Amino acid sequence: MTRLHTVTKGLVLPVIIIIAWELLSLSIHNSYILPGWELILPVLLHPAESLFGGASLFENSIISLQRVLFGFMFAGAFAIILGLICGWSEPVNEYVNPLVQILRPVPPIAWMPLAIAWFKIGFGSLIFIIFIGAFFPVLISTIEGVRTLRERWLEVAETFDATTWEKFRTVVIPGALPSIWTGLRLAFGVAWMCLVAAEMLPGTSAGLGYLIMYAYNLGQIQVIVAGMIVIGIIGIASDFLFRLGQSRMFGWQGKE
Amino acid sequence: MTDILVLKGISKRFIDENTVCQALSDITCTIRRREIVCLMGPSGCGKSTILRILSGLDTADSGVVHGCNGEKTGNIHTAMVFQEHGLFPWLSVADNIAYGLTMKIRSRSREQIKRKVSDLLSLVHMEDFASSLPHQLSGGMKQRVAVARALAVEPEVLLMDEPFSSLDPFTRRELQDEVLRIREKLDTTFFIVTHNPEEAVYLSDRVIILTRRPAKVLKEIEIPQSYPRNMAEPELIALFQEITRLVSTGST
Amino acid sequence: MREVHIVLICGLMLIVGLIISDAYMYREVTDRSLGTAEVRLVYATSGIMPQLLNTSQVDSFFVWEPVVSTAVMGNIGSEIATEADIPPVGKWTDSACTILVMRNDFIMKYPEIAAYLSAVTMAGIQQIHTDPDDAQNITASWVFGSQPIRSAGVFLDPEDVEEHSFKNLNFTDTAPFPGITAMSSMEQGQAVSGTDPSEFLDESVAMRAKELLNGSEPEFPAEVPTVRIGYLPSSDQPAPLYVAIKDPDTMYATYGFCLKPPGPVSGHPGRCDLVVDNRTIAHVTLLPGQVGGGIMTGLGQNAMDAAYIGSVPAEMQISMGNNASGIQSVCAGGSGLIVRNDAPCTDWDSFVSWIKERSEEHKPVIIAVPQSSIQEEIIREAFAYENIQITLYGLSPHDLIQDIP
Repeated sequence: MTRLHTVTKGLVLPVIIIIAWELLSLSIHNSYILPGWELILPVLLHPAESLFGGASLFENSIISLQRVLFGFMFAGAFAIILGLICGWSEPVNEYVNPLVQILRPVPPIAWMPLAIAWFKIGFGSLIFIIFIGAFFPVLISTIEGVRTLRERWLEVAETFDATTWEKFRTVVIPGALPSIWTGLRLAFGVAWMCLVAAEMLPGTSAGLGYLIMYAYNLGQIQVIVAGMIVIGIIGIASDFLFRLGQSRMFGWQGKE
Repeated sequence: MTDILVLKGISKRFIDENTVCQALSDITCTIRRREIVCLMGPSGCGKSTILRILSGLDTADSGVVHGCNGEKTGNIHTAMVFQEHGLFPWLSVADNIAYGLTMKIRSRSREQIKRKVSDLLSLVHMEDFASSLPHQLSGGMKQRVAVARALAVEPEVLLMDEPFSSLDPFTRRELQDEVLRIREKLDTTFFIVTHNPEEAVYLSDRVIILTRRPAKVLKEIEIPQSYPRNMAEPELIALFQEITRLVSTGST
Repeated sequence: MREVHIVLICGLMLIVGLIISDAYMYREVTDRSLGTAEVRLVYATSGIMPQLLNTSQVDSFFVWEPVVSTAVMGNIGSEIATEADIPPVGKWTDSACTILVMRNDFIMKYPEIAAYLSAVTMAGIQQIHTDPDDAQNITASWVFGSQPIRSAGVFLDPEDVEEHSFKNLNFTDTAPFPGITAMSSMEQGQAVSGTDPSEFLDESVAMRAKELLNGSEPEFPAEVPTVRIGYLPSSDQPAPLYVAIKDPDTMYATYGFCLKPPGPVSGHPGRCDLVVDNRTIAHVTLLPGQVGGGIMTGLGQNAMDAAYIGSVPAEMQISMGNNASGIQSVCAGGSGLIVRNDAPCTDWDSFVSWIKERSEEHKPVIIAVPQSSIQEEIIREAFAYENIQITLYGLSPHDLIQDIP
């Protein structure tokens, strides 16, 4: 009941904005500046219809999701493995950390020109951009997770004569998992934003970012708004799933 | 009664940056089979360090630890219960208890582990919580699980580092009785670090008191009374007072 | 380890999801390409196209000057056709490629300024024809600057590139606007199968411009507005504008009006003044864009007042409700089809045979075009005419592993 109440509260502002938007659009009367909901809703309500002779809204979303999941899983796997090693071994971390700190502030999208040369237009370069975007949050949270493990847990494992691998498997990984999960959650958000931005650049032929850019070139602002709404919905849905996973799997966090 | 653990001339120094700190100097004492021994001393004197050396988490700079047959440290089978339980929060109660048994060194079958875990669950009266997670349990229950987890690997000596200090008095007494019951049932030997003289008098056959740093054995006090003990008895009250004095002054 | 299992299961489910959705997309792509020959289209900006061709990511591109000349002179590829060679035969010969477009409410509010902008454009065209060498040099320095251009290992002189490029360009204010068939039929919910150029032509502005050129008495508006003009700085087509701004004195001496930058002229100025009889009647701001469609949307959003852009994006958007009008043509021609040097084709017909061959080998030819440009329209109409199926490149991960021999 209280849950429903929170949802209602969260809906108040969007509803106000939607109404204000519609009123403004009626008074401005220029769909290039503020397309009314009577233009936006048909796009959202017919997601399977082909847009501009190309893929539909639904297909574009699927393509974007496919790309983001692919790159995200790649990045996640690499970053978790490297993060576990760096967190566990100080010497390795001393080699890796400076490079990470240099590369981390570079916006993933800045890699695009090089990515196109290295990994070709389309799928390859986009995956690379997502990889760059998702890699660092996961890496840093994984290192943090291993670093902040309770010393006591490792000692317990040691008193039971655990080998190094057993300690790694039974203590380090499960103990660092909540932090890794948080990293994955952040990374997915970053990856999603990077992807949509990268899709807006030339060389892509599908995806939500592409759809927005194509609609822009055709002056179809209502499609842009529909695309933005879908991007937001996918973003909030993925974040919800990650949070759900967090409370289901790591309910112990902060209560140990 | 046979000796199960003999400490001879144990010394330990800690080097921290550029200061050297002599924690233990020449600790010598003996623990016999089926005995409950409490180790006391002023705080920071190195009581926990002794347990850590016995459990293999630390090594002594000099001195030896013998088992009953004159074995070296590594072969004496110990298990440790820490002050704040140290349970793995991501494992259920049953999985926590099974934890030590899953180590390769012990190579138990799934069936054996399952049986052992259910025996231990009933030993510490936690049958109904087998699949609970540690954060769902009270402090006393967590400590019961920690004890069961340590007992699972059938240690010759169960080391306990201020095991009940964070519990309320009623729960503490309950768990102390539990220790006595377990000893009756399993013939386990207990070596318990405590800062609570009342606990020492209530539980132990013998109390070993250490001096301030660098710690040596100040005195060993036998408590000949039978169990269960009535803490109102004058003899126990006298012992309680003597122990309190020895620990707080650090000298005879 | 329960949690680890959950994470692993999640991962597995994602992979399975990927494979299923991928199979779905792939089916989609293959379904569409059954039977007929197939070609792949990829959208790119003009600047990136030579790199794409040079790194074998595309087989061909179709774009405006001077990108075509740069590629040819840099030996990145060979030019096998211009729009005049591409079917339907004759459709694109001498039809307007780049036009001057203005927002309707701007024309209504400042008819005289609109007319002067048109007049400046006409005068600029005249100046190009009077002194083509000078026009080439001005365009070279506008588009490339004074430094040599590096292109795939060789350095090119910008003026040589423009000399090559200008042969392909026909600056004229009288070219007819082409009708659009291929791209407009792509538009969702649009029943029209083509556009009628006369619908979005506003001839009144050009007529008044001609009067002004012939010395008609000017009417000065009360206020001095700022006019924002969009254009594609990577293209040669707005050369009349470049010439007008870089050599305002000649124009002023001849006609008594000009577009004069406030300071000394170097690089490409972002602002200038429309000066008539020693009076500034409007400030002009130049806004660069990447593709014509985007500039046209800017017009629709009241972010720009006029633009030099391709006839196709302008007509497309006007037919879809953008409240603007075509004023006059600026130039005809200026597009070139470039293929890889080792491609077995020398003209449009052999290009089509190559596409069919590669399609049979299931390695469709990949062509890059600027999105919603006149080039896209030309290519789409041509392949519709040749009965060749167009699919967009990059719809499926399979494009990643597809090799270009």
